[in-house]
Amino acid sequence: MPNTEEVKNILRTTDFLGGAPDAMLDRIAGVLERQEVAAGHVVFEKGDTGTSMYIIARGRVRVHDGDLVFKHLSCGEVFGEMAALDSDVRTASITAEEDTALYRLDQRSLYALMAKHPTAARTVIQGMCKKQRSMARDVTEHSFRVRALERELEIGRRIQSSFLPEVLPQISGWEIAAFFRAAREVAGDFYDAFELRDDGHVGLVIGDVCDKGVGAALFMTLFRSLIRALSMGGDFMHWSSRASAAPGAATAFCAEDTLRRSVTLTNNYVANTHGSTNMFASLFLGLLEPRSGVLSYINAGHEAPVIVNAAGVKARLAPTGAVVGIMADMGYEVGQTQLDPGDTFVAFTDGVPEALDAGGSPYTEERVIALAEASHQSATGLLEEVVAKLDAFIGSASQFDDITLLSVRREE
Amino acid sequence: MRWSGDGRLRQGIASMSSMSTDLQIDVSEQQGSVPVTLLRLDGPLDASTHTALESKVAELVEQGTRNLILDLSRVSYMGSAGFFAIQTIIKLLRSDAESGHGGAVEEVSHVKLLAPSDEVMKVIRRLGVEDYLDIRTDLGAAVASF
Repeated sequence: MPNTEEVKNILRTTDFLGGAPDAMLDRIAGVLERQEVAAGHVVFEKGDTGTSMYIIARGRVRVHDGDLVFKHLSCGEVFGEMAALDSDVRTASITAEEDTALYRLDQRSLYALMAKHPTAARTVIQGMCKKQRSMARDVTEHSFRVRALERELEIGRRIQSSFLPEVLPQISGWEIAAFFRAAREVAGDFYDAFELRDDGHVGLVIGDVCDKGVGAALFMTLFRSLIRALSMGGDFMHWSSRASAAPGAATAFCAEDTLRRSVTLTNNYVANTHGSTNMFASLFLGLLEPRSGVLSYINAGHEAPVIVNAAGVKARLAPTGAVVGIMADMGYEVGQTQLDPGDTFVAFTDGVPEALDAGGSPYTEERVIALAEASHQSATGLLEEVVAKLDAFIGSASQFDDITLLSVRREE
Repeated sequence: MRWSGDGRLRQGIASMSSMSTDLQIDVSEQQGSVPVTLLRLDGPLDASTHTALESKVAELVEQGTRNLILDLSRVSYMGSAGFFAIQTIIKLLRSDAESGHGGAVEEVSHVKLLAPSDEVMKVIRRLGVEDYLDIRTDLGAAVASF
């Protein structure tokens, strides 16, 4: 039996029972059981059925759900009172953060006290009311904070969308289409398509920054900007004098050099400047020469794009180097392929093959390729078909990863 | 996060914790010429679980772990977030060790990957990072390599 005076002193400090008359505290103290728990000990887990409430006599516990810590409680604070009253499951887990002493009040004793002494029932009801009021205040405060954060995220989303091309290039004899859907407000995926006006090449980009959310979104803007600026370097240099410059007047353009320069400088810049963040991106950068249909590219650790036509899969454009941003001075090979009339190029991020259905099964790359083969007659139609099938597959499950597709078709 | 899709509601709060417990991490100590911590991973190493692995390793490093073997033989699936975690761990344990000759500094690998599953190897190859990682096939050899 714990020392009654010591227990009563602790009970008096609690919000929950502090207002109870002395005689009632005596009775409550009489049915408490003292428990010593070591640091790290889990008092109960979220989802457990509960029949006791606890009062902390000494030490400190955390209220949490896995890694997510809601708050810390220390001497004089009470937890577990709801489940002690209604025997429902615990809404959070409690773990001792240091060696902790607890007083446990089990449901049977609590009910017996409440049945015998109306004052006990009143004390408990008043205690619950206090808790409820304090929770209501927390919820209100929390809602304001959430709303402020949502506003910030919405601004982030709007600004980030300006890092995707507003319009895709219109090239005679070619059709370019893209689809992008973020899993959250902001995304780590990106795509781009732009004309290098000096020589007529078209830059095609699809990329996926590791991780999701705000961190990935910040890096998406960096990767996208570096790749575009470095690929279009010539254009930016001649920006002011473009009106007077004749097409092709600039130094002879070499797709291979431009690709290497863009990807290598982006890789070195991110690895050297932001190495401590460990962020990286897989990306595919292609330079398409629309007259010949020659597509030169670097695939930096990205899902291999596919070229399909009436005969099926014509080519997969496998990685020619490592993901960008991990380590400076990685070597990148340049690949080259040819898009002939009737060929359709499709690139996608891993959010497509790895989308999960309600049962947790992935969509798979095989399905993406099979759909591309079946819908090769139009770049836009192909993407619409893939997205429709993908949405039907995901069904009621949540989209977890960003979904991005880029398709380019050479008309027949 | 791998959505289990059961959408269960508990006390009005959507339960998501079950989804981050898919990856089991088993910690044991090995003794080579130096102490080595072995982490056996079982389950998916992806966006839903990578922070659990990173936290675990951060905790171990705080407790004094300096050499680590990640057993990836039972990793059923790895996304690029999984590689992000591995890279974070490599950097966390990276130290510049004195070679002892003329004060030259040589970087020592303190993280070895043990017997990655085919699924993991496929991702490592696709990301083009095979050469960047210290991959071992045998536990004894991995322990001895530190």
